[in-house]
Amino acid sequence: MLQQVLEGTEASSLVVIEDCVDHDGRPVFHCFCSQLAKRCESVHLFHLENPAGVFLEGANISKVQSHDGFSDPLQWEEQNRDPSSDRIDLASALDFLGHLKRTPVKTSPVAVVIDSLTPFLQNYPGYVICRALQRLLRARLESDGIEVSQVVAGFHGDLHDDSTAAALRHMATTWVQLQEGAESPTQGGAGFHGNCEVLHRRKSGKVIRQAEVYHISPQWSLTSRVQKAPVRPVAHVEQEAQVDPTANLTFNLRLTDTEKEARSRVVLPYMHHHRKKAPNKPAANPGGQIFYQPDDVDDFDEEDPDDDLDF
Amino acid sequence: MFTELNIILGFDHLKPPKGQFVLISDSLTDGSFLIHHFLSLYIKGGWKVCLLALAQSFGHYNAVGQKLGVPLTQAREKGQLRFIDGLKCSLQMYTCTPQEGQGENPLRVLRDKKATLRPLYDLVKTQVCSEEGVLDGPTLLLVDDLSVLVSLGVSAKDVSDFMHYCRVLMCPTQQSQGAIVSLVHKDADVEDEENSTLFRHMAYHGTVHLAVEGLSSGYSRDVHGQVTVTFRNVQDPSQSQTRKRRLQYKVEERNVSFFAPGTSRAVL
Repeated sequence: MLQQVLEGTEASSLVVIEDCVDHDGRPVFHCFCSQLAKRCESVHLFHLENPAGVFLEGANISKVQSHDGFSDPLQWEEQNRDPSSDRIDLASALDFLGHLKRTPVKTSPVAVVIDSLTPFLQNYPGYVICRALQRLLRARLESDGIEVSQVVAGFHGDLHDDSTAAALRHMATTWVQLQEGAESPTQGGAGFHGNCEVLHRRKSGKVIRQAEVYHISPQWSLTSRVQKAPVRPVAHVEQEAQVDPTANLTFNLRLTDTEKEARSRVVLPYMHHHRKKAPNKPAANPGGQIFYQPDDVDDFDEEDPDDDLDF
Repeated sequence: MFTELNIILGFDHLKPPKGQFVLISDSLTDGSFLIHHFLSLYIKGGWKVCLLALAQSFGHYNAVGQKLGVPLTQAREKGQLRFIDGLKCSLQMYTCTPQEGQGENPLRVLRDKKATLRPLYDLVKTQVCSEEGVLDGPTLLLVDDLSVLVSLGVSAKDVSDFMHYCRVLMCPTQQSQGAIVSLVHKDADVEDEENSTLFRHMAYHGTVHLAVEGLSSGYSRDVHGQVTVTFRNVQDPSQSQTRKRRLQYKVEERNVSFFAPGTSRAVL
């Protein structure tokens, strides 16, 4: 599903990639940037946590318009302002669409990549972000002069509370939660790989939730496949041929019929047999005699206790 | 000194870390020996250091530096070491009256809720940059430590904004001349939401994370703790995504020896 959303075969207007400290989402972001630069006419990159170069390696940068929220988001640097590039000011009102309109865009529809939502969420309340994203998604060519085909946003799951995550999850058509990386499918193969859980909502209303494994090649192309449930080994119920333990020995362990009968008639020393009482029999143990009276719960039977051993 | 750690990190005094944001975190133990290590590494290599000291006075660093064979007083006189006495500034903020000299103090955020750490950033920038406003040569910004700011009441957001600007100044890319080393306390037995939030923000900025903690089995005379080194690499798919190495260490009089877990001299 992740690969289909990336390549555009599955339509998704808002893709949110949730990562955490242990499972970094930047490689996946990079793949989205490269892929969107290939299949869309124009890509707007709002970069706030990393310089633009991190995501643009290998991508067609002529199609990418970057909005710089990394160098000076709070306007602390008075000088050295480059007027040609569009800067994001976290102190003023949030308007993604306004930034898009400010830069001359000849082609439409455009794709928007936001890295990441965290600086916005630190400076504005959650509903402001949601509203700004909605305005972006609902932009129409007739009224706003621009149309947005896809928005990809990064979200750090461990920096924000559940209510913010829930609000964004409600808005998103695809939510990718990155999880513990799997073992590399090709041992020693190059590239990044990991697990993720994808929650995708189609326009028809169908909701698909899948656990997937993704792999990113050194050329920043992503492939993903559904993760198969781990196969539990089926308990083998085979009837093995009964092996005779007394065969192939250098000594004889077998009993003849007479010997078996004699064995069954052996009187165990601690058993007090009423039938075969010998009153004149000297006490075997002058110190004391042991009388064993089996209780009702004791099950004493004549069978050979070794009979139920199953080799 | 610290040669084993240098080999693992890939730094030494001849080849200082450039473009790296090293985050040191310690839990239930004191990780400041790593601060002294980076300080002496850069001074020995002849590179420029700006030390923003919020936890200790200059005398303390000087005393430890002398044990490690690095004269900090001379470095400060030469201009190689720029020392920002955050400890004194914070004390002044609390002891001065509103009429006198509050305007110039870089830590005025401690008294003025509407202020940010921007004055502190401006001060760091003047210390680190040349007149043209750029870094000349490998420069290190050492912050010891960020948890002090949170304890004094600065919000995690303000500290994180300050560190963001420092990162943009020193090491925005891996090819930059500057590097940052900062320490954040992450005690496992203390539930401090602000501090944990700050640590997570810093972890996203960091390229190398050194987590110092005691042994899980308890106190030992021969092994004082362990350091887990985590490299976060997202630039180069031909290398592994995150690499983790674990080392155990023992703090000695003039050195800290690092060794692989289980190979302490007491055991072998």
